[in-house]
Parts: sequence; structure tokens; C-alpha cells
Amino acid sequence: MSQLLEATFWSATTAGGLRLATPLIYASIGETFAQRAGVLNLGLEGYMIIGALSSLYVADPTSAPLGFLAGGLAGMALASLMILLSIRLFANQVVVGFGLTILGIGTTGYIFHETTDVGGRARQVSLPSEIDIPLLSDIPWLGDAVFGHSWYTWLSLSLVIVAGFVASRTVFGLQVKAVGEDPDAAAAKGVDVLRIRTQATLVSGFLGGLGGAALMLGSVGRFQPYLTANRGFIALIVIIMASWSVWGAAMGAFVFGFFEALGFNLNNAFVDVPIEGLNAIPFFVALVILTVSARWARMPRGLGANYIPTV
Amino acid sequence: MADVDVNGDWDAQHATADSDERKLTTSLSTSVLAVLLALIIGGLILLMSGENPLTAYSAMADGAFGSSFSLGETLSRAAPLAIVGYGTAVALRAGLITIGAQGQVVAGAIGALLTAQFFENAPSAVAIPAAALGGALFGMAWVLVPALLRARFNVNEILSTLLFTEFAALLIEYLLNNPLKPPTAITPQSEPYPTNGVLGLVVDGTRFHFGVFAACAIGLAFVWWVRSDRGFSYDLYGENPSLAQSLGISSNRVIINSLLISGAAAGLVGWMQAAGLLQRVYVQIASDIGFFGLVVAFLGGATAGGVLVAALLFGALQSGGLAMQSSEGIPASLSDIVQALLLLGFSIRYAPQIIRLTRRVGANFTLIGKRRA
Repeated sequence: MSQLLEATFWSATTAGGLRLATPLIYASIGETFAQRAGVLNLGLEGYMIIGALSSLYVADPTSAPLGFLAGGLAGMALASLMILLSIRLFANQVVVGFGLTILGIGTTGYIFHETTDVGGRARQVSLPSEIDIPLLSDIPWLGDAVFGHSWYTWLSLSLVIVAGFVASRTVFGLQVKAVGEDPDAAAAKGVDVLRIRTQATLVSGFLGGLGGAALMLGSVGRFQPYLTANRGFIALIVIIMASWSVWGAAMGAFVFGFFEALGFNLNNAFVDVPIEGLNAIPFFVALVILTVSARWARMPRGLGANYIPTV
Repeated sequence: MADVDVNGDWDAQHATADSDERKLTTSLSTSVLAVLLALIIGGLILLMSGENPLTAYSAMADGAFGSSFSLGETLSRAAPLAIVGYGTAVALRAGLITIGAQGQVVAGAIGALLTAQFFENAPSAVAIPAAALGGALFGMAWVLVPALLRARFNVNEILSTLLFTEFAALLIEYLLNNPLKPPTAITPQSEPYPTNGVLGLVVDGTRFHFGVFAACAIGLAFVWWVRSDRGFSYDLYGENPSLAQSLGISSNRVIINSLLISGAAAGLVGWMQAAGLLQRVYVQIASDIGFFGLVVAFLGGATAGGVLVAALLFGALQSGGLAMQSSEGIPASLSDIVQALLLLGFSIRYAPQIIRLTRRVGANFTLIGKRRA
């Protein structure tokens, strides 16, 4: 109990939260673009798990950065099925999304079992070291909480800034918003709705794959089926929290990660409380946020509905 | 565009027996095409990974239909999928997608076990229906909060039921590691299911138990539901919520009731698995039934016959896949891939059943809150 009063408890929880949030930050930022453009990717879970497996299988013989990139490309490959079936052939987004999630889980399970011999050497990567920033990492409390992280976390944080800029300050960002809010009006203005939606979905696939890769290379190190454990769906929830803004998505990802870390760390402080109850904390917080944000969240008007151009 | 033509409207599609028959044959041939396509792509994946597709598929067919044991496996896998499928189909017809059947199956299994332990000394004629009821009630309880949140605050039911699946997974892990765990057990599990509540085997030497017949009963109930007044008004709500509301159909009632029905069906499956198939409760008792049950409902177009056929197909693919894994060493995940391909193939718009259904889901779709005005 007294541990809760110590600064190190909270700095460790904040640091752990940021670490756990890293994969979610990638995935939720990418999906924010897709949803702002009107495309709901329930297949995000599939993009993440296929990104995780691909990153491991490339990073194991080569290097981590190459594996990371491969994870993104694999997510993009799966997302291209979303583009083909939903954006181009107008199949229902929810149905295709579920299909892609199952396909991702099935394919990774198949590849993993086909390539892993019982008792043989499992593919694995060593986890990255923390990058200490001189001076800043030495600040007593803040240094532990914020500055000692791997490059996957640093990259995700810089991505927030870049993506925030692209979403609100570039033509592409505005076109994305336009085709998600009112595709007919956007088309009348000469915007190629299907092209913008295609690009936004590719972004979602790429970043979803990177999210899976960051999970694998940054904190797990070896594959197991169902590795992503519904994180793709959590990413969908955190997007809602701040009405589809990039900053909000990253913030929501951190909040979820923070409470996940809190659950783990509270286990040391309260040994009598069942661990399962503590592990439920982040999901409970997510439920509360989901409910409360229903009061202010306004989803993009065209979200979930396919756009069929009139020729 | 063509989308509108294919959809037609509800009346037009049911106008004459003649056009109905034509619809059936076209949807039948596209269905067969989609199944073949999925198997062919699966075969290519097998080839690429250095396996012989013919060996794999014949092992799969053998494991699904080859003996009375494998037939029993197929049926005992198809029955829960069909029941969850019918339950989620009720919600789907009202325009709601519930992905949380997974958690409701878990809750149902816990409910059934607790009820059965309570009636441990009662005659089977009391203990069996009581446990079934207990399972169904726990399944309903597990969907109650998401249903209220959807009705009251417009909180998306896909995401909220998913969170409740996480809660169920944590709850069963806790229960089977602590209060419900027998002192001698090493791995998390419950005591054996009370013998007076166990559903017996129909055919000895298989796992074909009497609970499988519950799927037939639920199927009949579903047929009745679709034809009843209330079922019709829920359908209408799914098709056109604002019209339904202007006709005096309460949106809250439709949302809450249809989700509760789907929860009851999933809870019943929890009972079936605990009392029939496994005769004990394990952490993994729901396996992936909840998730694939929704897929079955989608594939079957939320119709009585469609769900039955899809459930049998998936039951066969799953039992066949496991048999293939043990006889040929080819990962059973191949059947997941084939099932996903099937769903993706069917999702394309030439499958009229899915379009009619997805148009409803589109009409009611909300991620959260209101659409921007």
C-alpha cells in the first residue's frame, strides 16, 4: 500500500504504460486516417498479427529495422484485400474486416506451425535496449518515466507529430476528411474518393503492421498464435475517445497502456487482490471511456458506408 | 447503381415463388463457387508450403465424414456454431452485430456448472433443464450491459461486447484457478460436471451427445421467430429503423431484446459444452465458437436454412482440420484460412443474401454517438 505513495511506483507505471502503448499508437494512428476517410478496418487485428509474424521472420535472419519494415508491408498486403473487396467491389466493411482478422490469425498460425519443429530452435529476436538521452534521462522522476525507451517508442512518438501535421495541415489530410464526411460533395469537387480511401486504408495497413512489428520486436521477441490478443480491437476503441483526432488516438493508446501497466504493478502492492481483477482494469477503463465519450464523440458521417461512384 | 438493383426490396424478393426459386439456384451456384474457390486457394497455400493438397483434403474429408466417430465430431462442432449462429442472426436481422458471443458462452458454462452443482442431488429431469436455463440466463446477463449501453448511449455493440469477452476470460481464469478448482488439480479446471446433469451419448464411441439436438430445437424456434409478429417488426426495424419507429416499434426494446436473445443462445451453448461435450469446465471452453458463430450467421444470410448449412460446413472444416493435423501433420489453422476465405468470397456482392443483410447493418451502423449532422 505504501508503495503507492512512492514516486518510483508511478514513474515505473508511466514508463511501462508508454511501452505497452507503443504498438497501439502505431495501429490507432493508421486506423485514424482510414476512419477519417470513411473506411472501418475491423481487420486491424489481422494486420497487426501478420505484421508481428513477418517482422520476426525477416528480423531473425537479417536485422530488426528490416523486420520492422517487413511487418508494415505485410500489414499493407492484407489491407489491400480490404481495398479490393470493400472499396472496389463494395462488399460490407464489417464482414470483410472480420474475414481479414480470421485470415490473419489463420495464416500466421499456419505459417508458424509449418515452420516450427517441436523441440527445434524457435525464431526469436533479442529485445532492443533503451535509448537514454543524456541529461534528460537523469532528471529524477521524469527521466525514468519518459526518457528511457527503445527506438520503437521514440519513432511512434515522432509519428504522432508527423501524422498530426499530415492530417490537419496537408491537402491529403483535408481530402481524407472530405471523403469521410461527405463523399458526394468531395467527388463533386473533383476528389477521387476511391483513390483517397485506398491510400488511407494502405496507411492503416502499413501502420497496423508496424504496430504488430513493434509489439514483436520491441517487447515480446518470439511468436505465438493469437499473439496480438485483441489489441487491434483496442486500437479501434481508443480512436473513438477523442473523436478521430490523431493526438487523441495516441493519448487514448497511452491511457490504455497506462492502466494495463497499473494492473501489473498493483499486483505487487496488493498481493491479496486476484491478478485477474487487476488485469481487468484497462478494459474497464476502456468501457467507461467508450460510454462517456458517446456524449461528445461524433463519428465521420461516411464511416462504414461504401461509396459507389455514379458514372 | 447495380447495388440497388441487386438489393431490390424485401417484397420484390419474395414476390413470386418463381423468382424465389431462381434466387435459390443462383445463390446456390455462387455458394458452391465460393466454397470451391476457397478450397482452391487453400490448396495453393498447401502447395506453396510443400504439402500435397489431395492428401490434405482427403485427410480432412476423412476426419469430417469418414467414420461414425468423425461424423459425431462434425455434428458436435456444428451444433454450437448453429445455436450461436441463430442467436446472433436474431440480432443481425435487427441490424446489430454482436461479437461477444465468445464471452457469453463462457458465462453460460459457468452458470450451467453452478446451477448443476446446486441441483446435484435432484433427479436428472430437474437438473438438466435447470442447468440449461442457468446457462442461458448467465449468457443473457453477460450481454445486458452492452445492450443497455447501446440502447441508452448508442455505444457500439461490437466494441462493448468485445470488452465483455475480455471480462469473461478473466473471470473464468480466476474461478478455475481459485474457488472452482479441485484441490488436486494442477491445471485450471473445474470439478467434473455433476453426473445427474450430464447429457448422455447418442452413439457410443463418439462424442455425439444429446445436447446436439438442442440445435434442432433452436433452429425450429428461429423459424417460428422469423415468422412471428414480433420477429417481423424486428426485421422491419433492421431494414428501416426510422420507418419502424414511426410505426410505433420501440427502438430500445428491439435493441435490448434482440441482444438478450443472442446472449441466451450463446449461454445455452456454454451449458451444452460443459454438460455434454467436455463434462467439466475449462478456461478454453468457448474455443472460437462465439467468433465463428457470428461468421456462420453472416454466411447463412441470417436465415434458418443458411445458418444450418454454414454451421455444418464449418463443423466439418474444423473437425476435418484437426484430424488432418493429427494424421498428416498439416496445421489445423488451414481450416481457419479456408473459413476466412469463404467469408471473404461470400462478402462480395453477388451473394444476394449477404447484401440484403448488410444493407440493414449499414442502415443501423453506429460506432458511437450520432453521425455528424
